[in-house]
Parts: sequence; C-alpha cells; structure tokens
Amino acid sequence: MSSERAVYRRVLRRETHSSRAGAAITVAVCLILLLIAAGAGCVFLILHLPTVAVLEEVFAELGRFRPAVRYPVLGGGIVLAVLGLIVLVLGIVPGRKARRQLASERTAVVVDDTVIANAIADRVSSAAGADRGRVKVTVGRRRADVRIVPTSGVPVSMAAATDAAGTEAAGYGLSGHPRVRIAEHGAVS
Amino acid sequence: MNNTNRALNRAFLIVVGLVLLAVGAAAILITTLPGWDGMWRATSPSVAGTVTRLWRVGTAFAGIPQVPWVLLAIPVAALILIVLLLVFIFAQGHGRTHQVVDEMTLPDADARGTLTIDVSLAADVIQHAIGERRDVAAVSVGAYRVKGKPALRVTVTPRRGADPLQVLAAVEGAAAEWDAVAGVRVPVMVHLAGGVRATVSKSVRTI
Repeated sequence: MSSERAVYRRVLRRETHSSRAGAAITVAVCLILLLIAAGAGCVFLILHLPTVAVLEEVFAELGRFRPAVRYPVLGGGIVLAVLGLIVLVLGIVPGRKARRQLASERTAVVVDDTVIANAIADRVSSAAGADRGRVKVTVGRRRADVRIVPTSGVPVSMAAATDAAGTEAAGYGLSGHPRVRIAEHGAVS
Repeated sequence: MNNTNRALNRAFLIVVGLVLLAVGAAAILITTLPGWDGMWRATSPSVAGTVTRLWRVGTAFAGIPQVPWVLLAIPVAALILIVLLLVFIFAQGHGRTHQVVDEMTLPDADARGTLTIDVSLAADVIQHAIGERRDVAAVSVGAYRVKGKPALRVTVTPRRGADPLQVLAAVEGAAAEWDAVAGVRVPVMVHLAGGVRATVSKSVRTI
C-alpha cells in the first residue's frame, strides 16, 4: 500500500521533529505586545500632541548622538541581535525530538529516548548485578551512555554490563556501541 | 500528527529572526565603529526632515486640531497586523477528527448507504487489548487527518521496568484486532512515550 507508506513517512517525520509551534506562538505574542505598545504610544501622542518644534528638538538631540543616546542604542542592539540569532536558528535547525522510529510492518512506530534508556538501564542492572537506582543511561542520537555507580564492596562486571547494553541498544537501532563507565568509588548503601 | 503548517512557522521565525538580527547589528555597528556613527549623524537630519514633514500632514480628529496622519495610520496598521498574528496563532495544531473510518462505501454491492466509525470504538478495542497489561501504565487513542484521510494515533506509556519491545508487540497485536473489527486498513501510528506518567507509575517488578 503505497499511500499508507506516504502517510507513515509524513507522520514519522512530523513526530520526530519539532513543529516549532511553541516558538512561533511566543514570537507572535511578543510582536502583538509590541504592536499594542506602538498603537498605545500613538494614541498617547494624539492626546498630548507635541509641537513640531519639540519634535525637531528631539531629533536634533538624537542626531548629536551623545553617550546618553549611544549606550541605550548599543544595549538595545545587542539584545535584538542575540534574540534575532536565537529565533533565526530555531527557524533553521531541524529540531529533532528525543525520539526515534522503529521498523514495523503494520504500524509506524516512534519511541521516546527515555523509554529506551530505561530499558537499557533495566537490562544492564540485572546483567551486571548493579543496583537499578545507580544505573544511569542517556540515549543520544546514535549511542547510549551508561554510567554505573557500584555499591561499595559489590563488584560490577564491566563485560556483562557492556554486553547487556549492546544487545538492548541494538534492538532499537542504535548503531553506535554503548559507552559504559563504572565509577571508581562505590556508594555506601 | 496535527496539521500545523510547519513550513510557515519556520518561514515566520526566519523572517523575524533576520529582521531582529539586522536591526540589532546595525545598532551595534553604528555605536561602535567610528565610520558608522558619522553615517548616523549624516542621515539623521534627512530622517528628521521626513518625519516632521509627515507630521505636518494632518487632519482634525476628535476635536483636536491637526492630528498627524501618521499617528492615525500606525495604530490602524498595528491592528491589522495583530489580527493577522492572531489568525496565525490560532491556526496552529488542528487536524483531529472523531471518525477513524469515514464515509466508506459498504463492500456488499447490494447494501446501500455509507459507514463511518467513531474513534471511541477504536479506543475501546485497543484499550481492551492492552489497557490491562501489567507493563502498560497508560494508553490513549486519537484520530487525525493525514493527507486527507483519517489515521489512528496510539500513545502507550510503558511502566517502569517494562520491556518496550514486548509492549510494542502487544500494541501490534491490538492493531491487528482493530483491523479485524474495522474491516479496512487505517494507518496506525504508535508512540511509546516516557515522561511523567512513566516515572510516576509503579514498577512492573514486584519483590
């Protein structure tokens, strides 16, 4: 069914990448506030109309570009440039979510990286004889990172841990071999 | 899985980002580079001239004589832009539907009429199939329109200590049950979710 394939391709792409709805809404709300302020400013000016002479004086002062004008302009410029850069980058980078897709015949499957991390931690803790609460796993884009703090006096098998992590990670299409680190100093329990 | 216009969101962010960056960069250059503040001094009289000229073009408004047109035009333009931005904000999301199968012509040639199936039926079937499993903390089922046709979205939160691949196999089984009930193949998206529900839920293992 090719149309179903097309639907799955679209859905998987959309589920693994951010829609940027949050960022777009935030920026739009900021713009709305800015526009409200501009409108209110104009209304204020209509009610307290300055004479042309006052206006010319303000412009002349701005034109002299004294430090009192210069530094606020510099500060505002820095803030605007940084905000602009952040917004621009949000618009350009792919925005991958911490999820990955798994192959399946009938359905389209995405799994949160935290779910995979928990599964790896479970497997490692039972295989290596480490306390489950002291096995921390983070799943990156290609590779899982396993950190074990052994209970003081109870040895943890590095080989068993690496093996278990590798088997479990391979089941989720993590191509890189997991990196396992065992803390030198165990924790007292 | 919703119908958010992602290309539009990104285009919006890129345009706003570029404008902010350009304005900010200009302000930084003008204040820091010696050559550029001369430009400020050189151009500011003509800018001031234009603004004061615009300022003089006015009308009597609300009993106040000689209100500059610019002061009336800016709020109006702002209002139009605000409406457009609100439309943009409220166009985010959408695409949810309550029909998983819509207006299907009955397969039997003699039968007349069409058939629609509500999501709640799909939700019941899937919930019944996997909702009671010990390794599943939560199941939610929704339907969305993708490329014009309905598709199911099944979010399953495995319990702590669950084997996600086993949960996944069970969900595929539930999808097969649903296929048998519906009689037509509807695209199904499965999401194995972590998050708060998974961390708060009780662990599978009982000691």
